[in-house]
Order: sequence, then C-alpha cells, then structure tokens
Amino acid sequence: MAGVLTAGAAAAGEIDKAKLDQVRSLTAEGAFLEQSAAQGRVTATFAETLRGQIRDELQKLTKDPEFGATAEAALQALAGHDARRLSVIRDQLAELERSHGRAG
Amino acid sequence: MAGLVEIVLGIMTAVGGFVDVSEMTFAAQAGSRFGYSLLWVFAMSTLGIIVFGEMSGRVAAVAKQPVFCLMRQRLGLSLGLFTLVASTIVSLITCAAEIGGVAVVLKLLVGGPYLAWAAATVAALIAIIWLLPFRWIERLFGLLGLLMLVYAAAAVAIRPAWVEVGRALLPNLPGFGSSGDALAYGYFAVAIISAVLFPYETYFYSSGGIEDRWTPSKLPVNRLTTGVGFSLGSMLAMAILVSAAVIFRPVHVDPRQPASVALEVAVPFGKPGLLMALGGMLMAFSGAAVETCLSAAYSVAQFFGWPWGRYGKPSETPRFTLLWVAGFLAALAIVLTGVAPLQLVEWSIVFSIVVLPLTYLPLLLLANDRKYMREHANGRIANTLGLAYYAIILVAAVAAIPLYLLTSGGQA
Repeated sequence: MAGVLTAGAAAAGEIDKAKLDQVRSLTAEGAFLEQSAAQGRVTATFAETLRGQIRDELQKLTKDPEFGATAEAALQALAGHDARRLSVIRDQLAELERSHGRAG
Repeated sequence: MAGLVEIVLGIMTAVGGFVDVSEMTFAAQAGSRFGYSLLWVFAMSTLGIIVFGEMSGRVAAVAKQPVFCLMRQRLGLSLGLFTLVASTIVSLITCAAEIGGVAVVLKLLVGGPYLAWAAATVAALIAIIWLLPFRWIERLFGLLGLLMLVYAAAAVAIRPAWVEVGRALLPNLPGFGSSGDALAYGYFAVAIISAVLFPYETYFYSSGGIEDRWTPSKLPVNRLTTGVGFSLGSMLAMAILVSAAVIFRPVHVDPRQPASVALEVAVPFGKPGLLMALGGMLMAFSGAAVETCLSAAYSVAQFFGWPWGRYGKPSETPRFTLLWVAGFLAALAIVLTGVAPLQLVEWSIVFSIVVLPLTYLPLLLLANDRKYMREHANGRIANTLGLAYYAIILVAAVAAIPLYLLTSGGQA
C-alpha cells in the first residue's frame, strides 16, 4: 500500500522536497515513538502528547496532491501504534529522497 | 572560600542556562541531518560567545556601561533606534518560542491544553521575577537547568565514534548528494552560529554584571564564568548533536520538536532519563524566556536612560517593570496566535543573526577604547579574535535570509 503511494509521488517528476522531507520525518518520528512506547521507555502522557503532535502535522499534509495519500497511510499506522508499518513507509520515503539527491 | 563558592555557582549557572530551545532544536536537527559534521561550527561559535561575553562583562565591570547605552553613544540615535527595535522584536519572538517550548514540555509531563500551559507559564514567570531578587532568578533556572546534564550522560552512554567526533570538531565538509544538501548545510551552520551567539545573551550577561555591581576586581570571575561556563554549556548542545547523529540519523528522524529531542535520552536511560531531560528542558527554556524578556526590557530602558534593574523593588523602576511585564504579555500573545514553537525558533534565529553585527560593533569599539577601559582595554588576542568573529558574523548575517528562503528553513 505505502509502496504504491510513494511510487505515485515519485512518478509526478519534480517533487516538493520540503513536503517530502516533512512527511518522511513525521513518519520516522512516529515509528521511533511507537517503538520506544512498546519498549516501555516513555511515559503514557509523553507518548500520547507526541503522538498528537505528529498526528496534527500529518493531518495538515493529507490534502497535499503528492503526499496526501502517504500521510493518510502514516496516520492510520500511527492510530494503530504500528511501528513496523510506519518504518516501511519511512524507508520508502527516505529512498525517494535519496533518489532526489539528499545525502544520508 | 565564599569567593570560590561564588565562582562555582556562577559557572554552574552559566552551564545550566546555556542551552535554549533554539540551540537544542538546531543541534538535534544538525546531528540527524549531517551526522557529527557540524560540531566544528558549535566549537567555533562557542569561542565567539566566550570572546564577546567576556568583553561585555569587562565593559560592565570597568566602564559600567550596559550594551544599549553604548549603542546609542556609538551608533547615533537613528541607527541605535533601528538596532533597538530590531533586537527587541528578536527578543520577543525568542521569548515566545521559549514560552511555547515550556508549554510543550509541561504538556508532555502532565498533559492538558498547550495554550493554557503557555498562559500559566507566563503568570508563573512574572510572579518569579516580581518576587525573587536578580541573583536568585539567575540561580534558580541556571542550577535546576543542570538537569540537562543528562544529555551529556546519554551521549557517553550510547558510545559514539569518539575519533570521528574529535575530527568533526575541526572544520570539515561532508559529502553532499545535491546542491540543495550543500545549501541546507550552510543554513544549519548559520543557524548554529546565530543560536550560540544570540544577542540577548550578552545584553543579559552585561546587565547582570551591572546589577551585581561588578568592579575590575571581578574580571577573573568574568573570565572563568564565560570561559569555563560557556564551554561546558556548549558541550551540552554538542552532546545533543552527537546523540542525534547516533540515534536519529540511521532511522531518518529530523527532530523538529522538543519532545523528539527528549527521546534521545529515553534510549539509554528509559523513563527516569526522559523525566530528567524534560525537567532540564523546563528549567532551561524558562530561564531563557526570563533572560530574553528581561533583555528586551533592559535594552529599551538603557537606551532611553530610564532607571532599570531587578535589585530594587519593581515599584522603584516603574517603566522597566512595565516593560518586562508587557514583554511577557506580548510574547504570550504571539504564542496564542497558534504559531508553532519551531516556526518561532526559525524566525528568531534568522532575524537575530541579521541584528548581530549591530549589537557587537559598539561593544568591540568600547572594549578597545582606552579612555573608558584604561589598562583593561582589549589586548592583541581579544582584538584579533573579536575582529575575526565579527567578520564571521557579517558573512552569516548576509547569508542568513537567502539560505532560509532557498532551503525552506533547512528542509529542502
């Protein structure tokens, strides 16, 4: 699902790198948070608050023509506390960024 | 013995009060984006703030002149007024960013609505400044801000590649995947210079020296506080960068909010570490909010020659008191518009570097003036370093806005 979404964004040719950076980072933060929460490293209040912040930012991106669907997929994974799915979306977005010249 | 305690407390206060929301955010993002590579910019900028901090403390002790008195004398009324307006705007935006940061941390600790926490924060800070003497305001936030040392412990615990860390302290450039990457590197370098050399730090430090009635006998303490205190404080920011390079970079997290930065500590130390980090951030951001707001009030009062200071009762300096209370309320109004703290941080960083050359020029001139400074005027080393850093600040000031626009605030 996420692979199709990010491939769709890549097919658009010139992409908005700032938006791509934003949605990748938010997805990565979500994955990291869910992993940390699952390992008991953060308090419940902290997890819920940070989750809310990430959710609000992703929500703003859902109307974006390039990355709206990806943001939506990340939101669903976040709602399900699904660290693995968030990691998959994150890796695909990072790959897309690398193909557009971002180091790291 | 009492003198030694005084020195140690001064250094600890400088350490605990060094890191603010902008340094923390940019350090973490720089580490995540470029690994250890930008450590040298932190090291270089730290020497810069030591040079200008020491100079402003020396001028306060010898010439008894606060920065904005000098500004008016040396730049003239028009340029001085321009600098005053610009730096007051920067201080208020920065204060708003710090208040936003405190509200976020409180929400992370106990939940509740962000905007209500922002309002409660401002009410609490106004009460603290109103009730506590200057020295205790400084120490309360500086010493409790030492909880931030947990970031240094975390950086050691995660075992970074120390040889690479050491190499990155010397000027270096990483491999860039594109011109956009190179521009983003430039943006982060400028942002770090700006965050470390924030003008409010020297306004607050020199005004504090005058409030504490420094005399030339305090010059060794001034040197130790700026040299040791600022170096150790900056090491905290570097530790945040190192941890971000180790923890966040491999998993593509660009920590854009204070909460994400706190996660660095949760990795090695779990919940206790996380709570310590949040406690440290709470104190560090609160301290920075107080410093920025008082700096704005100091600046205006000093420029117009009004009585100022926190040694007397608030009613003894009515205009100054009105200024800092109004400053807090203006900063709160900015937060209540709903602008994200990170956005405020970016604006304050970019505009602060633009104002910086005007701030440090009069300081450099006066510290060199033997009529005022007598045998305590700048020596050859202080002058060489002062001029070198002034040139760096000028280049960064010219590059700041184009880099911000070209990289969409370091993102593209």
